[in-house]
Amino acid sequence: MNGSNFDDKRFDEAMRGALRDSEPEAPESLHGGIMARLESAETPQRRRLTPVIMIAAGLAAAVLALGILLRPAPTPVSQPTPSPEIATDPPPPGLPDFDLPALTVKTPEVLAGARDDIRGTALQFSENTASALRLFADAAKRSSATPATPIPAEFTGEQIEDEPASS
Amino acid sequence: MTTSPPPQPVIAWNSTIEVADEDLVERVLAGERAVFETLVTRHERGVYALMMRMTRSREDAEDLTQEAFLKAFENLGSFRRGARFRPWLYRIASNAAVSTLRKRKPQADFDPDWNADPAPGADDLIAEDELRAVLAEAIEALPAAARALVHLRYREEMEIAEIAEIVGKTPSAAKVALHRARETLKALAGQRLDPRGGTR
Repeated sequence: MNGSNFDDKRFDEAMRGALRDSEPEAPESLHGGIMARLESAETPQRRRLTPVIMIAAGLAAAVLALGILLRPAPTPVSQPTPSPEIATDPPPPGLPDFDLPALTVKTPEVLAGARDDIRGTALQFSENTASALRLFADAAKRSSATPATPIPAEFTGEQIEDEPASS
Repeated sequence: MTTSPPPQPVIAWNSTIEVADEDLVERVLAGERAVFETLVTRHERGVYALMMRMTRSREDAEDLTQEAFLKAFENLGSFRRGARFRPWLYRIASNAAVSTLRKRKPQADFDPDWNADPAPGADDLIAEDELRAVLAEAIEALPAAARALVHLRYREEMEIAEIAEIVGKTPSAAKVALHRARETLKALAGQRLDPRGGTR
């Protein structure tokens, strides 16, 4: 048997009583003893990142950034030159020929050309942006140099005096 | 004519007015060193009782209690924000107790004479006082780790999660260990209180 004949609630209560009865009183000297040992201890402080760890983290970040910047360009993989056009099979008999355009495969030359186009477009875009910014800056300078145009009275809500009637 | 004394305001010791342990820890870390004494006052008896339960030596229990508070104070900077102070402190203390027990000579943690089946219906015939006395003796026959589990659950009334944190187990493992200790105690008490054989 495993001793399950005890009523659980009664057993738990007896356990609490047994532990309470058998617990000795803490000695009078306990508190004083603890405080005496604490006297010589340094006041604790929340631990922060030490300068060494911070420097190490900074160095690691710098090395990572350099690694990304100085990464060698990917070497071109030699590929067999594909035929510029993929031959399409003639339609099976009975089906109309839709005259679909032939599929083309981008050759390295075509890709290189496309890359140059993109680069040229990007350069053009950056030049345009720079000139637009220059124009904007000039306009801002001019506007700050010229005195502010007085706001017409009809927009400020001031009373407009009627012009004297011409005789 | 007799005048009755004015009623005293009753404030429960664990009322919401009491500052949480964790807030006191923050104040100590902010430089209010003296606040740590409040934490000592709150927990010294509990830690001492646990140490006493584990080591069964007044001298060791007192020394380990002092050591636990000193370690807690010195390492308060590493106390994780959001953690609970009591399990953290009790864990420091119980680790110190385990370390002390390991240094001692191996001792018989369990009396083989206790292994026997209990008699049926034993609880109908025995008095509460007798059961408590037998259980107290049976608890002492358990290994130190099981004694700690039983103490934390039935004396400190801790939840399983908190006990698991202290003893460094998962909650389910702590629950299983506690269940085993309890079943062992039941068997020991049942055997001891066998009405046919009487107490040995």
